[in-house]
Amino acid sequence: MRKIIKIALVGQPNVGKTLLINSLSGSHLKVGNFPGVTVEKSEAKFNYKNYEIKIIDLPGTYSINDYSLEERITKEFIDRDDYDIIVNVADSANLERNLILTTQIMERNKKMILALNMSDEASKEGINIDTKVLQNLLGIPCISVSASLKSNLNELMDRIIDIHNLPYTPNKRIFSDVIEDEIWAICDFLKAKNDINIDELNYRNVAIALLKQDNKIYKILHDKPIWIELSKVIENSHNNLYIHYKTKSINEIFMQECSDFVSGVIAKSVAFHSVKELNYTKMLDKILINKYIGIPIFLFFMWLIFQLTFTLGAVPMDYIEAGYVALGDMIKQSVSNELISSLLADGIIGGVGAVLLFLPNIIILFFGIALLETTGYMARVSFLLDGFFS
Amino acid sequence: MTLDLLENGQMAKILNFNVTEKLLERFFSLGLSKFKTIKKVESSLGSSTILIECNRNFLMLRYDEAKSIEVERI
Repeated sequence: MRKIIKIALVGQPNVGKTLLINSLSGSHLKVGNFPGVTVEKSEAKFNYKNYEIKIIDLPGTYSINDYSLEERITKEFIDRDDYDIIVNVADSANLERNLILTTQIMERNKKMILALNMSDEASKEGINIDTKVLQNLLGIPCISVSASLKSNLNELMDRIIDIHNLPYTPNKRIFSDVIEDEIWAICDFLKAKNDINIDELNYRNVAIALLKQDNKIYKILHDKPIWIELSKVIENSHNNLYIHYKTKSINEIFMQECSDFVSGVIAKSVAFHSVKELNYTKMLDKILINKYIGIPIFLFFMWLIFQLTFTLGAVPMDYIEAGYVALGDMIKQSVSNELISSLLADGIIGGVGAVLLFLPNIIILFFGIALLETTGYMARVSFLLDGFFS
Repeated sequence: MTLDLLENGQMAKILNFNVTEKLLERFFSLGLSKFKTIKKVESSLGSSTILIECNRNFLMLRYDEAKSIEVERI
């Protein structure tokens, strides 16, 4: 019997998570959507070596806070659902932004792997990621992959199996010296009290949760006898952090700390080389988002799609109309019963034909919109027109 | 000064955010945080939207959002 490995696939939007699933699962892909919410998680199943791999494709999210529905779904899944390992897919060309999410996932203390997707794109842009250094700094396995070129995918799967079979080892998410000092202060207090309500092995996690003002840990501890003294220790630690970070928002302090941690990791593990190739995207952007000519260009594209929809679409429309009229006439001639021939020719053929008549227009229109969307042009349009609609 | 006052092509260091905690979370998750260097790339008609570059990423901000970010020109 095959062993089952359940993988939670987490990553920011447009990092190639779904493409990675398709590349990994190949022709064995079985996709089943979980309805119930507007943003859906997809599940893919396939076999690899002696294992049945189940991958849950979670909605793309920039972080696991509560900002959007996607973030809430991903956060709920990571914190509460049953799975074996998290595969965090990151865009190698935008690693700094992606590592913010990675760091937040690391704080959950689960088995995880960082898949550095789009490694080919990063190389083209002169970005060189030292995966060994990155792995050492984060304390989690990091593998460069390219879902589009299908490179290093077997290595990723082998690593997933290895990590699944090994016991959990803590990652290297360490905080700034100021925060670490406060974590130790709370840990020392908890050790000294040796309270039965707190597991000795989790002193550090409890201390971090208390510093972050985590509601769950507050609810557990606030009616325990230790709370009277502990609350004073926490208050003292918070005051020290407020002074150092010059803000009284604990959330902001930890977000800033996370950002600093990521910047430090990037500085040590990523090298940026200048690329001599002309950056055509930047050149095009200068024209497409220009405040004076950007809107006329957009109006031209809309006019072009409109013209293509109706002028190009008119050609097959004539053939479709002629086709269903001829078919109707043929049926009328061959069926002697007037009622049945009218039902078939005028009702069914005529009705279906009238709908089919507009199919070419709809195909051209949708193709045009999809082209503008997938090339990223619509994002540029939102930059130009947001002020008019907000 | 605030980010909206930068000229196109000017670079600045982020000093502070005067936004709600939710929006601050969003900024951080997109890579914007204190002491990061940013560059104003372009603004749309009437400066209703502002395009900035940070960590080799391009981000679009609304005028109100840009106005709430304190920066220091470098």
